Order: sequence, then C-alpha cells, then structure tokens
Amino acid sequence: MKRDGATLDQLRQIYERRLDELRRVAAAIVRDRELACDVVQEAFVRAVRSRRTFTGDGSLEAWVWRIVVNTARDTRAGVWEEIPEDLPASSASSDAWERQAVRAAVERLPERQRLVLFLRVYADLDYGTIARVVGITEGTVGATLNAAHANLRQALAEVSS
Amino acid sequence: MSNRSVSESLELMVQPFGGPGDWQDVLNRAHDARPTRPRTLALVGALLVLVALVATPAFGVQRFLLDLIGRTNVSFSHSQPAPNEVKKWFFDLALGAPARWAPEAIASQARSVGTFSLNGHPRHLWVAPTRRGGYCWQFERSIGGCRQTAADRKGVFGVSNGAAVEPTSHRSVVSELMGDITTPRAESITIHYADGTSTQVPFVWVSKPIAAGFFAFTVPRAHLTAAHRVKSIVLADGNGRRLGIQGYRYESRVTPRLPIRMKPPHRIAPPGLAEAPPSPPTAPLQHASADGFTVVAGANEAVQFTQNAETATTRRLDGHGIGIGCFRLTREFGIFTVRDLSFGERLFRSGKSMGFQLHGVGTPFDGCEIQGSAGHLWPDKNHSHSAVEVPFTAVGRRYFADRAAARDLALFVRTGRVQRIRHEAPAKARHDLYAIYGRRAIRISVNGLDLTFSERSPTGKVFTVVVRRGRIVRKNVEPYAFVF
Repeated sequence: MKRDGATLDQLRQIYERRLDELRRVAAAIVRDRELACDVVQEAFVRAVRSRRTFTGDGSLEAWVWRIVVNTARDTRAGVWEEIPEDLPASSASSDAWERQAVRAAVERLPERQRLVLFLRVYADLDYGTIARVVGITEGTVGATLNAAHANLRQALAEVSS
Repeated sequence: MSNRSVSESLELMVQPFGGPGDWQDVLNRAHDARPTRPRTLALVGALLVLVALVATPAFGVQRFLLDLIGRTNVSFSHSQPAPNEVKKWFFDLALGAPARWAPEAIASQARSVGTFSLNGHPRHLWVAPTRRGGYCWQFERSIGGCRQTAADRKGVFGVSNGAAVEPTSHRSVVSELMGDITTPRAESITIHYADGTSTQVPFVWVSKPIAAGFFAFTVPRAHLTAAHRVKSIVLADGNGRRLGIQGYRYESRVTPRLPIRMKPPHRIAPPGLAEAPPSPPTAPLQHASADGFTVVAGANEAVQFTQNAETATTRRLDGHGIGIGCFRLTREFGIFTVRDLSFGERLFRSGKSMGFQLHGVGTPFDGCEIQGSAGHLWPDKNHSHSAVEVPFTAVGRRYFADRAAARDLALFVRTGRVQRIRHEAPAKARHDLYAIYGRRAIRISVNGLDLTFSERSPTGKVFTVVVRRGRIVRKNVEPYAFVF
C-alpha cells in the first residue's frame, strides 16, 4: 500500500529509538564520533524536510537509514583521507592498538562490504532492511557479509601471527 | 592481537554513544516547528529582505538588522552550525590546558549566530556552550573568549578594546570595542565620546544554552583623535537604567621619550626541563626507542625521555636549545590534525633524562621527537627529519617520513634563490634550477604557465607545490610543512 508521506511523530520515534545505532553507523562511515552526531542531526533535518516524499515503498526506517548512510557518505567524501597502509606497532595499549588494527583492516574492505557490515553489526538490521538501504537483494546481503567476515578474519589473523 | 571474534573487534572499534539526542534541534533546523504563514506574507517578507540587501550591498541581512536595532535576539538552536574548521578551533581550546582550566567547549554544538562589521569587513560570530554551564565565543579573524562555568557569568559585561595611535600627538586612542554581556536585562550599549556625542552599538543576545550577548564595533575614523575619542561604554536596560560602565582614561600629556639606561640584569638561568614528569606515566604504557633515546609515555600524558646511547645527534645537540614533545594524529570534524605539544629546553645536556606532562593531546601518542632549535635549511643535513624521531605506531612512522619529504620540498621552494628563479618563465626556471641544483629528489615540471615542484615520500605520498608567475597557486604540504 502506498502511503502519502511520513509524519513528524513517526520520524521522532525512529530518532529516539534508534539514535545510538544511527550514530554508531555514521561514526563507522565518517570515522569521527563528533562528526557522526552532526551527520545524524543533518540526516534527520533532511528527512523532516522531505518526509512528504516518502512513498511507503518499503519501511520508513529503511528510508531513514538510507538518508543517514547517504549523508555520512557525502560527509566522508569531503574529508581528507588518511587510510593506514599497515598496522600499528603493538606498543600502544592493547585495546587502542586493536581498535586501530581493526580499523585498518576494515578500511581495506570494498565499500559495499563495509557498509553492509556496519549496518549489521552496529544497527542489527535484518537482511531485508539492509538490502533496501544499500540497494541490493537480500541474497547479495548474505554473500557480502560472508565475504566481509572472511576478509576481516584473514586480515586480523595475519596481524596475530 | 587477542582472540576476539570479528564482531567483538568491530564492537570495540565504534563504541556506543549513550548521550541523548536533540529532536527539537532537528525540528528547528528543518523549520518545521513553526506554523506555516500565508504565502502573501512570505512574499512581502522576501521583498523586504530583497530591499534590505539592495540597500546595503556590502553587508548581510543580519548586519542590516543590527544597524537598525540595538538588541537583536538570536535563537541558538535556529542558528546554522559553525563550519568544521571553527568547531575544530573550539575543540583545540583544550590543548595544553590542565583539566581545571580547560574550557570544555562542546565543539560539536558550535553555531554561527551573527555577522558583524569590523573594519568594514563582514565577520561571523561563533559561539559554543561549555560542559559546565558557560560558553565560548569568537569573532572571525578577531578576538574571543570563554566563561567556562555558570559561576563565571559574573559582572554585567566584559569589554576588550583595540587601540590605535593618533598620528599627530602619538597618543593612543580606542579604535575597536568588543565583548560579551551576561545580563539578559541589557537592551542598549552606548559609546560616549570626549566631544559629548554618543552612538548606539548593536548587539546580539543569544538564547540558551549560551544566554549571553555579544558586540563588536569599529570606532569611526572621526573619533580617533584626542578631542573626539571614546570616553566610556555604557550598558543599559530597557528603561535606560545603567547596568554597567567601562571608562577609558588617557595620559594627559605625552611623556617625552628618554634614553633608557638600565643596569644589565643578573643572568638567571631559566629552569631546565625536569628529569622526570610531575607524576609517573600510568598504564597502559607506550614504549619505543630510536636515535639513542627510550621514551615511555603513559595514559595520563606523562612522558619520560631517557638517553640510552651517545650518538652523533646527541653530540650535535649537546649545549644547544631543543624542543621536545609528542603528538597524536587525529581527524577532528573531518580535518586531518597533528595534535601536538612541546616544551623548549634552552640547554640540552647529553645523558640527562627529561620528563614532562602534556595536556589535551590525548593518548595513545603516535610519536615523540626532539627538534634542534637551529631550524632547517635546504639541503638539510638531517634530510629534513627532526634530530630525534621516536614513532610509537606505524602511522607515526609514516608521518615522520611524509613530513620529511614535505619539509624538504617546502624548504627548497622557499629558499631565497628559488624564490627569485620562480619568477622566470617556467621553462627557463626549470632549466636554471636543474643547472644549479641538479636532478635530485625534487622533480620540476612545466605545464603551460605553471611550474610544478613535487617530491615523493617513501610512503608513496606525493607532495606538490604549483607556482604561477612566482606565486604559489596550489600546494598540499600542510600541515606537514609551511611554504610561501
């Protein structure tokens, strides 16, 4: 059934219920926690302004996620990149080192794998919603997740050895 | 690497936020909280704004309003977020400040709340709340300040002034006034001049959580003489009652300049850097050794340098001034940042341990270093590296390599001789530079009017400086190096 737009109340409910997950996914994409909070605010400003264009084709939450992901990707596009080429020495604290090591491994994944992984791990979205956010089929979501996990496991195993 | 699963490792990478959101901010910015006005009214409003813009082409709308009205109320939540560079500036206020003095500005909430005219140029005013109920403010390319806590909101206003010297009498006069207002009762600011005239100064009152007013005013040229200069600035409420006054007293006559005869001061050796930080580094510790030094840094930002060998570098530094510090490479609000602090030591003594405490850099560090005080020339005998470079991480190691390449290029391009040759026709300049310096690590190429200098770092990063008719039109060496 096609709906004529979303209401402010529906958007507010998603904002209040999913804020932490939205910020985490944004932070994973833009790699900056402060900026991530701005990204989510900006994404909801866009969602509120264009809420009448929501057609009801798919869930409202998936529509909001798509706006958040696109806003984060736009933000990241304007950001200077400093992608680690190899992994840090283990002299830093183990948690900090591990965070950097994981970050370096994640940055080497193809963008689609990264995105699917973030939406699954930080937002716990089901395959159907991830498919609608990223614009792929549910089957592709599963395969992409498997490939991302395999790539990460291999990268992290190389660091351990 | 521990035995965590991929999912657990990812959990660690981006940890939960936990803080509350601000739905009202979303609504305010989307302008959806306001009732829709009739279309005709909106049209009239748009026409008025258009007239205003045509009438005062040099200023923005806000400046136009500020000219008309003494006090302009500005909604903090309706205001535009400040640019990332400004947010980063507020964030950096904590750098080097011990915890109790750090302003703790909430940089992510920084907003642009108005445009003022300063020396004929439109300048933004940016504000940010602090975590302890205060606020920080900054006028674009000018001054700013912080009232860190709610308790610091004392006095009714704070005024800073710029001064100019009157050309005929050489007396100083107030040329610029700006500051903040803490009382919400303020409705007007008046400047009184020595000739008995006065003028109203527009100001903005920014709503909570800032809850403060701000003003900036350039004194007209006609009031930069002794007879017409600023005498006082008065803050008043809506009934004209005075809430506060700042008066200015000037010297009654010019004191003749006498030759200064002073006894030479006793030579007091400045205290050197301590052998250990005020408190020892705390776990988790970072350890690294390089160039004859072992460095231990703690999570509390305490750092201990210990010399473990005498090297050509330590011999060269012995008896000379040094700068010693540590850094962390971050991205703040999307901007690549080298967050660093260092101490100066006037007399480096080989074999002496050195310890210090940093504030606001944050740990883990990516590296520490000792720089000689002699600066760098080209070609640099350290190959544009610092005297001692101690990386803690691979990122830190790459930074040292990249900075050396960027420095090498920048030093070359800015040497006096190259600066002169830069003005020649590109092909001739390239020929002359290769004839003088030979073909080194720095590559010089010609593309139309552009002369491009480039150098590749061992990490693969390529730094370039593009010069057209002697002037630099493009470069990517910052923040590693400075070129002009």
